[in-house]
Amino acid sequence: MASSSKTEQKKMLILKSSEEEEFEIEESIAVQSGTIKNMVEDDFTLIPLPNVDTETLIKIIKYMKKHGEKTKSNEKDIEEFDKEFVKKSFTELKELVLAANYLHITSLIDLLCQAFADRIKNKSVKAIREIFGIPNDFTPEEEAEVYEQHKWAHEEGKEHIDHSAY
Amino acid sequence: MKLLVRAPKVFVSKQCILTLRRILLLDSGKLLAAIMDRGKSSGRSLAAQNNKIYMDLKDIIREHSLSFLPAKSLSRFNAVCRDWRFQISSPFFAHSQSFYCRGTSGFFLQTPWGSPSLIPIDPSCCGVPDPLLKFLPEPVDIRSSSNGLLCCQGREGDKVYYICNPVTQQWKKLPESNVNHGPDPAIMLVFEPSLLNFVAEYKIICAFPSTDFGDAIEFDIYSSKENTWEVAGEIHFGATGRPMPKSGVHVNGVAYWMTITGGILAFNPTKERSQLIPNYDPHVILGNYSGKLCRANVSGNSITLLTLDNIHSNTMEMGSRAQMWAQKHRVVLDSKIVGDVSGLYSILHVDSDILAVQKGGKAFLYDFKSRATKCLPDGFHNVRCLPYVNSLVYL
Repeated sequence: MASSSKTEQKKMLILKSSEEEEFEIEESIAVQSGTIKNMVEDDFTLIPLPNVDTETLIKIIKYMKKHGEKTKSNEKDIEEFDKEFVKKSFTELKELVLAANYLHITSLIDLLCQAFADRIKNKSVKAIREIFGIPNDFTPEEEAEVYEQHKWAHEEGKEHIDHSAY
Repeated sequence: MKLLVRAPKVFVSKQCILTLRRILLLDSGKLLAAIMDRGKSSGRSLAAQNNKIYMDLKDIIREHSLSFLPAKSLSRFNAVCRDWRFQISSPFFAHSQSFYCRGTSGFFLQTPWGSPSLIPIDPSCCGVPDPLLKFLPEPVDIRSSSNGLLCCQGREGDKVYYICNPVTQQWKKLPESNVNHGPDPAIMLVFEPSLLNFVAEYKIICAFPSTDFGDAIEFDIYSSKENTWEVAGEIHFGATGRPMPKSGVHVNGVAYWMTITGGILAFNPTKERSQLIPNYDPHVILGNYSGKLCRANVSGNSITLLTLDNIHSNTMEMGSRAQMWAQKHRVVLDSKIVGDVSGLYSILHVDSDILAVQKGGKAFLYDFKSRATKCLPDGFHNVRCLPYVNSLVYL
C-alpha cells in the first residue's frame, strides 16, 4: 500500500448510528463493509445506519480499524484481538452479528458465528430456542419422530448437556 | 410448477416486496435511473427497507454457525425447528460441515481383540450412536482414522478392510489387495476434505517390507477414486528399520511414520516418492500442526513440540540440516491435575489444538489456546488410541 506525501488527505466518511450519533472513519477502512462500499459507490459520504445502535457501531468501527491495518507481521496481534473481541455476552454478540450481517462484513460474520458455535455446542435444544428466540414449529408427532431418530444425541451424557441459555 | 427446494424463511415487509417488484418490472434504463435516484431519496428509508430483506438471527446462525459444530451437537439440534432440521439433514450441509469442523473431539480406543470404544473430550458435543461399531458386518480392529472416517480390518478369514463413518453408520467394504500386509500393518487412511470434492476422496497407504528386495520398504495404495489397490513404483531402500504401525500421520497428503531406528519415513502417494527425515529419537510422537509435520517428546518434566519448517513436504527436497525443526511450544502440565509432573508418561496425540498424554492408565489433555490441563475418563492403559473428528462426511 504505497502512501504518497503526508499532505495527501484520506477520504473520510461519516457513519451515523440509529441514535443519530456520528462517527468519522477513513473510507479505505469502512469499505470492509459491503453495504457501506455500495453506498460509497453511489456517492454517499454520510452513511445512515438506522439499525445499528451506537454501542454496537463503536465496536464494529474498532474491528474494522484493527483489520484495516492488516500486514504480514501483525497476524498474531490481530488473532489476539479477535480472541478478546468475542469475549462478550450473548446479547452483545447477537447485536454484533445482526449488524455485521446487515453491513456485509464477511470476516466479522465468520468470527462471530464461530464464537457462537463454540458457545452453543454443549447446549440443550430448549436453551438454543431461548437464546435465539426460535419458536418450536414441530407438530407433536414430528417432534417425537425427530427425538427418536436422534435419541443417542439427547440421552447419552445428559448430565453434561448444558440447559442454561447463558 | 411445484417448488422442489424449500427456501429458508425470510421476513420481508410488504413495502419491501412492492419495491422489489417495482425494480424487477422496470427495464434496464429505468433501473439505472432508479439506482441513481437512491442518492436523492431518503437514505434512512432505503436502509430500513434493506434491513427487512436481511436474515434474522436464527437464519444467520443456521447459515454460518452450524457448519462449525460437531456431529453430536448437530444431531441434537435437528429438534430445534423445521428449518434447522432441513438444513442439518441435507447432504450439502454434511459436505460443508466435514470441511469446517476439523478439530479432534475424541479418541477411539482399540485393544487387541477387544471392542472399540470412544472417549469424547466433551460428551455433550461429541459422540456416535454405536461406538462399538456393531453396525459393521463383523467384529473389527480400527487401524486408522482420518477426519471423521475410520479404516477397520476384520479379524477372521480374509481380514477384509472396511471404511466407515461411525456417526452416519455408512460403511464400505474394500476390495482385497494382492499384497499380504501382515498381522500388524503400518496402514494409514488419508482423507483431507475439500470444498471442491463433493464425494469424499481418500487413500489408504500401507508401508510393507518388500518381498523382492531385502532391507526395503514398498507402498501399497488404495484409491477410493479407482476403487483398487496398486503397489507404488517407489521402493525405499536403506536400513531405515520398519515403520511403526501406530505412529502414522498425514500432512498435506503426505504420509509420515516413525521407524524403529528413529528416522521419519515420508511417502508422497501422488508423486510416488519417499524420503527419510533424520531424527534420532524413536520415542517421539508425530502430529499435524496447522498443516506442518510436528513432533512431540517428553524431556524431563516438560513436553517439547517442534514443527518441521525447512523440508517442504510437497516438494520433497532435501533441505539444509540447520534449523530443520522449529520449537513451537514447551508445555509443563498442571501438577495439581496430573500429579507429579516428572513421572513417567507417554504422549498419545498432538495437533495444533491439543496435546494428550498418558500417565499410569490415566489420560490428560492440554489445550494450547486456553493452556488448561484436563483429566479424561479412564481406559487408556495398553490401548491403541486414534484421534477422532465428529464429522458428518458422506461416504
